[in-house]
Amino acid sequence: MDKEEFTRQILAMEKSMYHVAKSILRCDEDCADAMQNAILAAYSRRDDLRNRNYFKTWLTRILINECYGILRKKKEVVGLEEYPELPGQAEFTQAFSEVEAENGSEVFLELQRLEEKYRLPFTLHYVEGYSAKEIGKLLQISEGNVKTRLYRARNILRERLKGVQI
Amino acid sequence: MSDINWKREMPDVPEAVHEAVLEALKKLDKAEDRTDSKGKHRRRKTLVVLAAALAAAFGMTAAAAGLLWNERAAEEFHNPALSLQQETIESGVADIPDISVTDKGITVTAVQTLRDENRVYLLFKVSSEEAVIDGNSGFEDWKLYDGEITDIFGNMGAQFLCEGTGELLTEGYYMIDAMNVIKEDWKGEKLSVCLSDFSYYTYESGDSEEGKSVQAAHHIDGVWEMEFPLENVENQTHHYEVGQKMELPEGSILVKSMEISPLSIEVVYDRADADKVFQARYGEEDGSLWELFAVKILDKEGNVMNEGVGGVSSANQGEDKTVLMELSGVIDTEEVGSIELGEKNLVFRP
Repeated sequence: MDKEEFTRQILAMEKSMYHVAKSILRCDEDCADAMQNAILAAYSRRDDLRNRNYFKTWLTRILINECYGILRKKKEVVGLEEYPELPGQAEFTQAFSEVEAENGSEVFLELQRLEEKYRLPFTLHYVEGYSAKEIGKLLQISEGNVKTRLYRARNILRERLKGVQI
Repeated sequence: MSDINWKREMPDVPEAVHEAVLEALKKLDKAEDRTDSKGKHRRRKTLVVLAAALAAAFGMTAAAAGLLWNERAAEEFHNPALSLQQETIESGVADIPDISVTDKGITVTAVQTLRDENRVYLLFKVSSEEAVIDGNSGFEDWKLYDGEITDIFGNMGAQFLCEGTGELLTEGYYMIDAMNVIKEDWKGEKLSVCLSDFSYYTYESGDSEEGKSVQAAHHIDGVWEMEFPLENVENQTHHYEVGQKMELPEGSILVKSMEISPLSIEVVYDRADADKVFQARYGEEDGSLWELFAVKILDKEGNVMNEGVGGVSSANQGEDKTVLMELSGVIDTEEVGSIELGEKNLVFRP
């Protein structure tokens, strides 16, 4: 894959990358770091990708690894309620609230309130269209485990969104 | 049918993030410069530089020199800290056996073994003269056994770690992941693997999910057998008598004991308590007490060491309900500070 095609594919996937990163990291600054790292890592390893049809899955896998790498560096896996306690996160917390208020998206806010173990599979399935089997491979968990998490996430969201069909 | 269009609910990419993406794209040439001749990305820490330097002095990669895990195996376990990779190799929990067997044009090389008291994970690199490997390929018959005993493993899985199906390759990674369900029969001195009857599919253009449909199934009638010595594996398992109750909305469940190993965790619950809570929650309907399988392990400073589990094996024995779970990563059992079950329905501090 040459540079031009790689660039084109990345720009086409930018939103998807952001959604995945956001579902793990929440903080936009961290999302940007993870996306940058993933892009550079993917480009340097692009010869490993034998079938371009799987570019999206392949890049998503790299991105998820980068996101977890950032989490490890922070030595925290954080819940939304814990964000204010993280060093350097106060500004983001405020910015996050402002963005949410501006967007007025109660649904997105509730999605972000889910625990990461539910949030990421949910985002991959309902937003990015991955099957439970594909998510299992991406996250190295069983397909059954993915379905359980999706079921649990649906129940939580249904409760919090007052019976909305999900 | 969902009432919500989730894509529409997600925020657009903020300008600052978009700028960061553009910045990365401008740096692609530099990224290429950082790639070595084998195409591996050089983003390592000091420890790796040291390990690689030592290995290079002997003309080997760091993994081949036994200093670090095989890179693909590390990736599968969420890239454990390099110090942890080294510790697991020193304790024998991880090994890089580099044993190869060739039959009928297919070479199977064991590149990583991971093992604790409850779980065995094996990673093989498979190469073939003809292009026969994709996500649908596999060994139709495979056995994992300890000496003569073949029934000690349960909840086993084996598959190629390919990105998809439809394009046949000449190389791929194949993994076997199994839980040791009958611990009293586990000798742990050696492990034998026998793979046979390699199968693969050829494809033709079509409308399947992957863009191609299966044209024909093929079999290669070979046998690939190898044995791994495990007698030098240090036991890293810690057993704790818990005797605390996990509080749930429908009632409490006594947690009798926990056993934590580098790659797995076993929790023994009171069976009658679990049955009562299940009945209260689901009645006669199907369901799952997911709290029994939701485990978060934190170190002594409160940092998350492992969250979530892979395979799960649950067994009712007498008054016990025993749940054995594969961790999603690997942990240093000496560093465990607390274990959370469910949504903090029980926090146990060893």
